[in-house]
Amino acid sequence: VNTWKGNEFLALASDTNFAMMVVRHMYEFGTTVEQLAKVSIKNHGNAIYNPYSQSPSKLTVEEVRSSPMVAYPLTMLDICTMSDGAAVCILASKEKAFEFCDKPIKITGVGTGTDTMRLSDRPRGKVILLPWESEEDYEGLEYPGVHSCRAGRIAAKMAYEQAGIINKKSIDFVELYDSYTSSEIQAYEDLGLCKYGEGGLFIEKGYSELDGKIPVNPSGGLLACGHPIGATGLMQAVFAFWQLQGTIEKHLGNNTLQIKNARRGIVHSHAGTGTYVTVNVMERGF
Amino acid sequence: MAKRKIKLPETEEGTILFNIDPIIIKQHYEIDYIHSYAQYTPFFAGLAKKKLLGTKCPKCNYTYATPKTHCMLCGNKTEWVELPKVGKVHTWTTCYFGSEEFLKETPFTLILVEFDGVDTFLLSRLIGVREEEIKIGMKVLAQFRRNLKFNPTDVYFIRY
Repeated sequence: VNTWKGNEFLALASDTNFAMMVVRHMYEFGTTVEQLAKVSIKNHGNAIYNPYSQSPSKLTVEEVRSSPMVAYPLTMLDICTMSDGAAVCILASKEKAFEFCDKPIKITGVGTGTDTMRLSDRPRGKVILLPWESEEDYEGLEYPGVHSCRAGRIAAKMAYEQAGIINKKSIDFVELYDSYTSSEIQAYEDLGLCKYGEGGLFIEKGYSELDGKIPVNPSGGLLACGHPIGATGLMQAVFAFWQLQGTIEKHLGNNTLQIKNARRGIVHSHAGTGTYVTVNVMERGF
Repeated sequence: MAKRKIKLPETEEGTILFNIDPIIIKQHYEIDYIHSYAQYTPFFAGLAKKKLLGTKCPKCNYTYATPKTHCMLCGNKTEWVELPKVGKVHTWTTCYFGSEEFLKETPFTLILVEFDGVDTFLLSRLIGVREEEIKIGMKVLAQFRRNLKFNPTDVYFIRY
């Protein structure tokens, strides 16, 4: 099939699944549609300074909520655009890397997680904890059910362990999979940037803004840059790479999106509806 | 003697070209699949008898609302069990867009139905409830199509 037709099949399956996940998330944790809209505003706003993005724009909560409804409660502006694109990363040994450039980036942690393909098969058990969480945090919560992505949590735990991350303060920024505003909020929680249930508060308090505690998707993410599916994960890695090198100004033409002194970034990417998730930890290699 | 011209018979139909340089032409293509429901046959046979069937693992007792022929936890073959016809809405959404097959039916509401004593959910449609009235936890009742299509849309749910 043509790319656009393939995209259509993927999108239709995804939209209803993610919509059902966020409806449950709102029921379990009180997440609101205004919080979802704030994610859209943040990412589309960041993208204004990213010439690689497809839909940079200044939005308001009313505009996001009144755009055409796709699958309740997600509107067109809550959802990324399926797209075409390409990205390239060159992997090399430490010695060779320094031959090619002065500022190579190291991959210090790789994690992967899976879950059932069918949303209805997701089990209801206990939260898989990160080092800075405890069982008491989640008493009475059935997990993952359909409100969270166990695969994302498993991937994060694996990657953090490999990279030696025991404290979320050591993360300077994150490029995560915001195919939907709701998947960004879910990813805040899966990645342990905040506790399960507090994802809505995280965006509301501005913690994930460019000047926030942990900037998330400074590039504008999938929501604003576009979603070239196979190339998306690499696209996220490239934006993270330029952040860590400190070369945002060189590549984007302005340094608005440059996180100062970014030494360690997380790249998080999905396949399916949280069916297969990978987390990579990238750090300065110089 | 005049020779008779040999010619292929002509028709009056023309041909529509989408472009002349290069020539672009449309060719119609359709396919029929003959496909077996294999080990899932009991589920579809159940729909015909107005029964909702799931599967249960005899070893670990894990029960599936969406039938699985083998247990995803221990790999054992599962047995068919009858599911209750009344369940609860675990989550829902209303689709305003759909694939070609379902586009003319939008908007429609999809729900994940939670059944007592069953570990996984069933994805189905909720009919006859306005979006503002849908609440997670509300009770729903399975109904079956009379003129079967022998596909999963033969079962759907209404408010109980």
